[in-house]
Amino acid sequence: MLVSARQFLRSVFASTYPEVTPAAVLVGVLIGVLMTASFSYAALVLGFSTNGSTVAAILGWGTLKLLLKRGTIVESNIVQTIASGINTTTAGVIFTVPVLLIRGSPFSVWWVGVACVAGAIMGVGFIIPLRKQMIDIDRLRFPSGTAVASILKAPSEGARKSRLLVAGAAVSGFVYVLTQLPKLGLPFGLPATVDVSHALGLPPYVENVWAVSLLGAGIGFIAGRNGLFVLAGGVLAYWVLTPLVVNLGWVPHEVSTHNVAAYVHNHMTRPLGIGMLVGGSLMGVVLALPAISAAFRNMRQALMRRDDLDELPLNVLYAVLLAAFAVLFLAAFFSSDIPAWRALLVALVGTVWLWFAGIIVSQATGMTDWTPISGMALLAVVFLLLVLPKDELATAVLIGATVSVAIAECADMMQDLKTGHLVGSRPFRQQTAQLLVAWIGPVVAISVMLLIWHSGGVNPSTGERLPGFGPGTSIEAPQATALGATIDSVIGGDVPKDKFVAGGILGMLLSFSGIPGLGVIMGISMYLSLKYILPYGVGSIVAVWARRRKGVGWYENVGIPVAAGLVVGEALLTIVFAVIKMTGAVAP
Amino acid sequence: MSLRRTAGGTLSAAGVVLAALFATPEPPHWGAFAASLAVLALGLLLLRQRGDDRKRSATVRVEGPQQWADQLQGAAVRLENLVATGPNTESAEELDRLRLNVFVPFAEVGEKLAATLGLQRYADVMIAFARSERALNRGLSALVDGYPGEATTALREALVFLRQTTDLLLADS
Repeated sequence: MLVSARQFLRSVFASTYPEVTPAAVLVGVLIGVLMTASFSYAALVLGFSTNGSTVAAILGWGTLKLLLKRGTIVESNIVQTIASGINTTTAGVIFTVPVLLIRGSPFSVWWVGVACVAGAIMGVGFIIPLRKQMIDIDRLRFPSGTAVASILKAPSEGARKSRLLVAGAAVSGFVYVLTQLPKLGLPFGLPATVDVSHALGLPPYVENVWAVSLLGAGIGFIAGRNGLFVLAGGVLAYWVLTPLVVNLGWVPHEVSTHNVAAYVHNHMTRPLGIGMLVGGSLMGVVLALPAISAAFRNMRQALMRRDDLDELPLNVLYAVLLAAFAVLFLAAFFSSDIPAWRALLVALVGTVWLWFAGIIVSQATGMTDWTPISGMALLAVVFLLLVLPKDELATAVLIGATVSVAIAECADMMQDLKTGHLVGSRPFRQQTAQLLVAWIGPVVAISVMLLIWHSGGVNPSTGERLPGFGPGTSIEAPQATALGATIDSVIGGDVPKDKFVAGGILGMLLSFSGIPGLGVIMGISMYLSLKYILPYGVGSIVAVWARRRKGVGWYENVGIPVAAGLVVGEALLTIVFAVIKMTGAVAP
Repeated sequence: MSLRRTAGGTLSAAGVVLAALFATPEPPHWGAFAASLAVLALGLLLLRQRGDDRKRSATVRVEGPQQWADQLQGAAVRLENLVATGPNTESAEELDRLRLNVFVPFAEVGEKLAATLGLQRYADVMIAFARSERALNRGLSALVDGYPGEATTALREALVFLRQTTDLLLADS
């Protein structure tokens, strides 16, 4: 039996306990649009972006409570769900689409926009049915989602938790400011990274650099035991494999001594890590099939009961996904010269990879808080160039952007649903809210990108239009430039397929270790930069120690609010300093 | 038992390191890679056997479905009393204690319970349990936000799904 439109709307909006209210929706959209616009600019200038759930939670809570003098915990959760659901697409758009403008590739901006919107909707739609498996059954931690729940609850749960959160934020904000002072030209402060390898007299290929980041330590604390495996993977990649590879003479002789560590990471361990991520996730899905089938059965049963709208009904999701797939096919067809059958194949490959990459990224985010979007976008381009002619760069980037936007939405939706679980939100309301606003992010990000592109002006002597960003301009768009280089190497056949395959097999085998998601966790740690893994690992060690020595009560009621504060302080000040950097006051 | 554990752990660690090492050159050393995977597989097999032994003994001792069902039934009684008296701001502490002492430990027992119940039934148990846990969290949020009516409704829902969890735990056992 299907749910009527009236019942649907009543289930979203009507509640004696304010949750999805006009104020929450408006504030969420407003914060989301502002964050997307500013982060799009920051991403072009600095190559920096953030999902910003923690920032959205603070801004949303502040706007509701302090300005509008209203707001419940679940209402604030809807604000951050909407705002982060809009902003999360920024990286997917800004790290991919500008490459077409920089290279002067002919493309239709309308179809790119339509494809990104379709990707955003598909990302939300695809991941919703897996909420029960990832959050209810596998109990993934989603550290940022847990931190946001702590932020939302702290002000209402008493002065003590608020004080702990504020103290954590103050300490991490203070440390972050200290690391930025040298960039302001001041003679004192802390370095942003500390290179211990020099002090220990280690050879240059043994990297031992620590980011001075309490945010990383806070996230590691919330991740708990999984963080120890991330640390182990990092140690394996950087302190075991790299020295062995160098001493066995497997690094080409033309690589200079000081570039050896970067070479091994970029050409050897990172592709292996991407393979492990994919293989580990694939086997994870296979092993979780009974749980996934139970989750779907539960959703189908709910669909038959008109009185229990706990989750967005499957038939709504099917309809949305079908429509989004059709739009993706049309975008692939009309934005290129390929025949309809090939456009259908492209849309199919893009959609299947989008679904699978969404699962990979959500699992990785749930276990570690790291979202390997660029690795998944790279694989999307690799797969698409297998079914596309080599000169169809625009179509490959179009689908690559769609996949990037979609997987960012997958990860964000799951983070938000985890927060919702911890504060008691109705998943149905969060899912509906995010599905309805997901289109806004790509529209805003593409608009900002075009605005900046056209701000380049015209060369007075030649009459040629000057680029607004890209190499040689003041806005370098570093991530899009890097993607362009990656695409060149893919087209040139320089794809480490062997390492993807070997990593995939290793990741699959590790899934049988008895440690949930070990292949995924080890994969992500080989993919990441060591300097962030180290403080993260320290946070995890402290968490495991604290749980054993102080108990679960202390960990949940003292440790988590402090760790959430560490995340908030640095996240807020990172954005403040990003704004300062964009004004030119500080060297980027 | 300890020897098997040590051997399993050592072989697994060696297998991972060697497999990753032999996968790194261009092209990978496939023969050595395959041999390393075999070492890893052997190590994992030994570790899993040990894990199965531990799960079986743990099930018999304290972590069987019946023991957990008893704990959850105890929590249900406490929840029922709260609903009957009408939750107030002081109830928040009691709910938080319930969450930390019963709900969090049950959620963390995961793997062991899955081995006892089978993945399909474990999934059904956890879906019902998570619904109860989320309703409890909603009750707690509503209470501290000053909505006792909503808190009562949410705690009733938590009770319904907690009982469903208990029933599913005890079904066919």
